[in-house]
Amino acid sequence: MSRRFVFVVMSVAFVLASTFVFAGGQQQGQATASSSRAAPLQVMIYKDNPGQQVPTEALVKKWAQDNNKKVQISVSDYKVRTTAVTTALEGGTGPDILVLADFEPYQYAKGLLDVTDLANKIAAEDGGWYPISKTIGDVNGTWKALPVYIYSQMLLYRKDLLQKAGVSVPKTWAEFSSALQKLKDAHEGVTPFGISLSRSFDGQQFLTSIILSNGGRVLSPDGSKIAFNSPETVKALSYVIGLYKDGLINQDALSWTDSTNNQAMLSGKLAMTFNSNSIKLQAEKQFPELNPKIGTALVPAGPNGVVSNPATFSFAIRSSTKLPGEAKSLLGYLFENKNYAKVLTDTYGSTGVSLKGFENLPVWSEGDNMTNLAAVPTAHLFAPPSAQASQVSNQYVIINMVADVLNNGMTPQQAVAKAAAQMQQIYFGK
Amino acid sequence: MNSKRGFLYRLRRELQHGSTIFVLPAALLIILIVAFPFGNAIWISLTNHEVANPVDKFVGLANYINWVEQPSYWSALFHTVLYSLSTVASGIVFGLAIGLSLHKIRGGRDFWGALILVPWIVPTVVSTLVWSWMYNPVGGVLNYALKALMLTKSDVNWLGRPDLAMLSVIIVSAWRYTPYFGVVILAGRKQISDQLYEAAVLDGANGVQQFFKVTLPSLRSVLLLTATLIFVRVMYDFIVVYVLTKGGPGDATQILTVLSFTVSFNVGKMGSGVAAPMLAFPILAPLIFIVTGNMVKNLVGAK
Repeated sequence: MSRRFVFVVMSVAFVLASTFVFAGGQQQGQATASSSRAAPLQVMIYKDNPGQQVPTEALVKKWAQDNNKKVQISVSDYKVRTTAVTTALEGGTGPDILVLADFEPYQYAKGLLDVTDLANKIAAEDGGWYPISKTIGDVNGTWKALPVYIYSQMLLYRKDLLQKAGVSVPKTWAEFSSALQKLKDAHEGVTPFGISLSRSFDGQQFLTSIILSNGGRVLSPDGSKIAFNSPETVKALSYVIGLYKDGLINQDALSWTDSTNNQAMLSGKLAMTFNSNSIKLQAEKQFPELNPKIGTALVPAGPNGVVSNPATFSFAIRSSTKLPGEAKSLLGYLFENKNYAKVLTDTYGSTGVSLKGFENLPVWSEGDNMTNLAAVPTAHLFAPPSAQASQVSNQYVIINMVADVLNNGMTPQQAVAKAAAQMQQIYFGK
Repeated sequence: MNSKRGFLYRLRRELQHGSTIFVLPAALLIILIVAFPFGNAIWISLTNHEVANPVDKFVGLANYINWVEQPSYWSALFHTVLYSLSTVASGIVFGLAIGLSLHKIRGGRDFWGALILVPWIVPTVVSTLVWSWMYNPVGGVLNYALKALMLTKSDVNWLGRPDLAMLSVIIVSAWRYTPYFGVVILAGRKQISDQLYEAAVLDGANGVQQFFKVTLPSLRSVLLLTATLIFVRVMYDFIVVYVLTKGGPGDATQILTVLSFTVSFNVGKMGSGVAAPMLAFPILAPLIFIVTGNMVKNLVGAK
């Protein structure tokens, strides 16, 4: 037997073996898929500062126990969530119940189960959805997701510092800037106001809230063209730049992240910031003596009233799930009045609330928790939900305007025009 | 007909020689685990594929044209090349210092070698998070140290100024890859015969001349190969920039992979997202083919 013959035989054998292994893998995959009828219901639970994952996980386990079902829970924070959701929707595997952020119910609508019946049932039982919830979950007349957390940005301020400076809690943006000036004059070594002006949710929400409350908008009312390049938007951006140039805002704002204002507030270096209630939750655990000094209030009003740009999270069901009935049953259970109330109570209402039927919960009357509830009706998006709106948000087109002015030497008008051109490209191509 | 006969003749010769058969299994595996995903990525970039949308439409080069027309793409490409080249250049300079120093050390070389490899071994996410705390403008250790050493009176805005932000991400990337260069250079230096240095000394060469006339030329192929591989790897690096700046402030550190991740995963436009880094492939492909081609020639002996 020649050596060449042995090589040929070995190679052919290898190719055949590889083919069988590959085919075997495929068959095994199919077997797993077919046996998935008996597989557990896979549930994604969102983990964040309020700690909603703790009561939610307990509720999911209780539902499984009461109904004799198997569940597999995956707890995801924001960073893990993005790739986990995309992978599940692309691969048709993984969690049956997903947690979607902001515009994702629209982006991924084709991969999501219709939950209109469940949404209507929950609305009937829990007092109806807030307008922001309907905007997020109802995709062109079909509910694709059930909003559960509406994180509103609110003003967090140091009561003691404001009191010493003789400043009352600002109700309008004009009052806000004059309050900052008084705080600056009164307290050396304390930054009057701090927030990230770089690529961050906080910064983007802050600037968007000012733009919207000043009457600025991304799209024209009929959605046919970009309306961002307007005097109102320029005025809002100029206002923020003015705060920076007057030294009323932290001078390293362009290097701050979403967590830096939390740290700065908790270290006593800030008089005011905008954030969700997570700062108070951290303060309660780590700085109990500081927590009573931190107050909360609604975002100041502009000519268009109080507008807060929220971060939202919704439950949704993957359309390729093998367990649609179980998934709907579990979501129905999580939204049952007593169960949703438990999550809100355990998190001091810091997750925000998507349904109107919880306005009388005792938790709102404790401390400053009421702001979490009062902020929900002020929540507005900068444009109707769509993949394009998501792209504008995720590419930080709006907050990048600040860096364009402060770092790149543009005027506010030029920065707004540049952002509008990017939006034009994203929405309508050239 | 002649060419067909020629092909069959060559095939028969190859089979007789046996080399093709040796390579075949490896080639099949590479096709399976490299070529297939790569081909699939090219296909996706030619469609309007979106996450959760089961129907793809072939759009030809539309995704590529769309990127080419956007100034933000060229800015991201420039940042990517700057980031990669700076990482490699820093890695070579500091890697040479480390590798050659390790070669000089008499005692504890293994210990120091292992210690220096720590940045390479620690998971990138973990080490980058540590760097982000060090750069933190509120209580970050870097500003604290600079002020303690009286090198600055006010806090340095590491990640907030466009020039400093790019420098800051490059520092982290270079810090991560330098140990790899150092170890490779150490291994390369060990292969250089001491006789070459003795001959240089006899010829009157000083230390600097020995470095430029003996060490560097002898390490040339090792450096070229390592630099190319690391350059390609850094071109597609994602974690360092994403964790530290997410591409900001403004677009100051926006690189192709962050742009691609945002469009693919945050926005769900897979076709467009995949096309962004694919456009850089024509830059990398010749580099890879030339360097790896030379490497293979050196390994098997050029005919």
